[in-house]
This record gives sequence, C-alpha cells and structure tokens, in this order.
Amino acid sequence: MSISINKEELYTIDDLNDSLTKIDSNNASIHYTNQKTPDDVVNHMPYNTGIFFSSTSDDEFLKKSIQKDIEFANSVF
Amino acid sequence: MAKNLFESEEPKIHLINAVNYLATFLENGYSILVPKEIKKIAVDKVLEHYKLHIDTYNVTVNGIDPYKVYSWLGLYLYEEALEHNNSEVSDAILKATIICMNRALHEEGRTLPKFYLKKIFNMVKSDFNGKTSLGIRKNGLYLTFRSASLCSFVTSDIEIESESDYDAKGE
Repeated sequence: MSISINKEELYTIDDLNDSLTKIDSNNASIHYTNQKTPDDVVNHMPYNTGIFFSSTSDDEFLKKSIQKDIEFANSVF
Repeated sequence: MAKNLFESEEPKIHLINAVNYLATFLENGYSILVPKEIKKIAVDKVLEHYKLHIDTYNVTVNGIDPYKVYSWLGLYLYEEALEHNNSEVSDAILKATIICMNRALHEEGRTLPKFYLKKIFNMVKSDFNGKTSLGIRKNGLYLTFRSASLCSFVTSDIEIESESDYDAKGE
C-alpha cells in the first residue's frame, strides 16, 4: 500500500498563526510557565514524542510511520 | 509579562504535525478527507478548550500535550461526523484518534494492550449511544493516555517469596 500526502489540505503554520491571532485578540493566549514545585501539574510534550512529531515534517518518515500505524490499527479494530 | 507558549517555533511544529498526522492517517487508512477549513475550525476549538482546561486546573504549561490535542481534536471531528449521521466515518475517526494517541505513547516507550485500545473505543462511544453513565468522553480519553504516559514503577511493600524459596521447601 502506498501512502500519499495531500499537500493542498495540510494544516500550515499560516493557519495556526491565524488561530493564534484570534485567541490573542480574545485575551485567551496560552502562556508558558516554568515548573515551580515538584507538585505542579505540568503540561508538556514528552521528549521522544516531540522528536517524533518534529520528524514527521519529513515526507518519507511520515509515510513510513503512517503505514505502520495503519497496519497496527487493522490488527486492533 | 507572561510569555506566550507559541512564541517559540517548537510547540507550533508539534501541533501542526500532530494535526497533519491524524489527517494523513484518516486519508490513507480510511479514505476520509478532512478539508482544511474543518481542520482550522477544529484547531480553534482545541486551543479554546486547552486554555479553559489549563486555567481551570492551574496547569503549568511548557509544551504541547499530544494527548490533549488528539483527544479534543479527534472528538470534535467525531462529533461533527455523528451530527451528519455518518457512523462509519465517526467510528473511523475515533479509531484513528486512539491509534495516534497510542503512537505518541509508543514514542515514550510505552503502549496500551490491543484489548484495552478496543475498550477505550467502546467507552468513548458509550457517551454518544445512550450509555453516558458508562462513557469517558474527551477528557476521559485524554486522561487514559496521559496517565499511561506519567505512570512510574514502584516496589511493592509486600514481600513475596521467590520461586527458589519454594523449590528449597520442596513445595
């Protein structure tokens, strides 16, 4: 099975910037905060998962990963 | 002045690529196209709910949480498909969402068993087919994977005899 990437319909940095402009003007920005205590509830991107998502900017990496996940999904559902 | 999370590029790339991963999965795995306009509305909804969540629970934010993004994005698309009475499409969206969440978890070196991924699917669906007391909806879905991501191993306080102890006793 060959995986294709629909370039025309991809969500882009311009799309996200439009969204962020809207939320900034509604005073609804998400602010970055440093963890102050070990008991803080921290929202973050796990390190390796972040590397993974950054890597999916590469089309070949994205296609291979999607292929694996489609096969996995078919084995689950 | 508080720094905006999206002032730096990395959270933006993570969010954009996570959205496109799910969308590309849907197109190739289930022949479902999510038009760009729908993606844009969906991300608006995610960011809106994200802000509400972190303010309500006083969450420290230093990155994009993939489990929140996928759960809230996926469930938005799921509900939209249900509203158009397309249960085959909505089921596919939910399956893809769960698989993408498990992918994010997999990259942390963890996974949930297949039987549990199926159970999660059924428990999300319960909220939408009249069994709300048995469902978990978008926040439960996010918590399921986030908990798996955060859990750590500890040593039990119970002392258990080793197998070699049993052998020595001749039992």
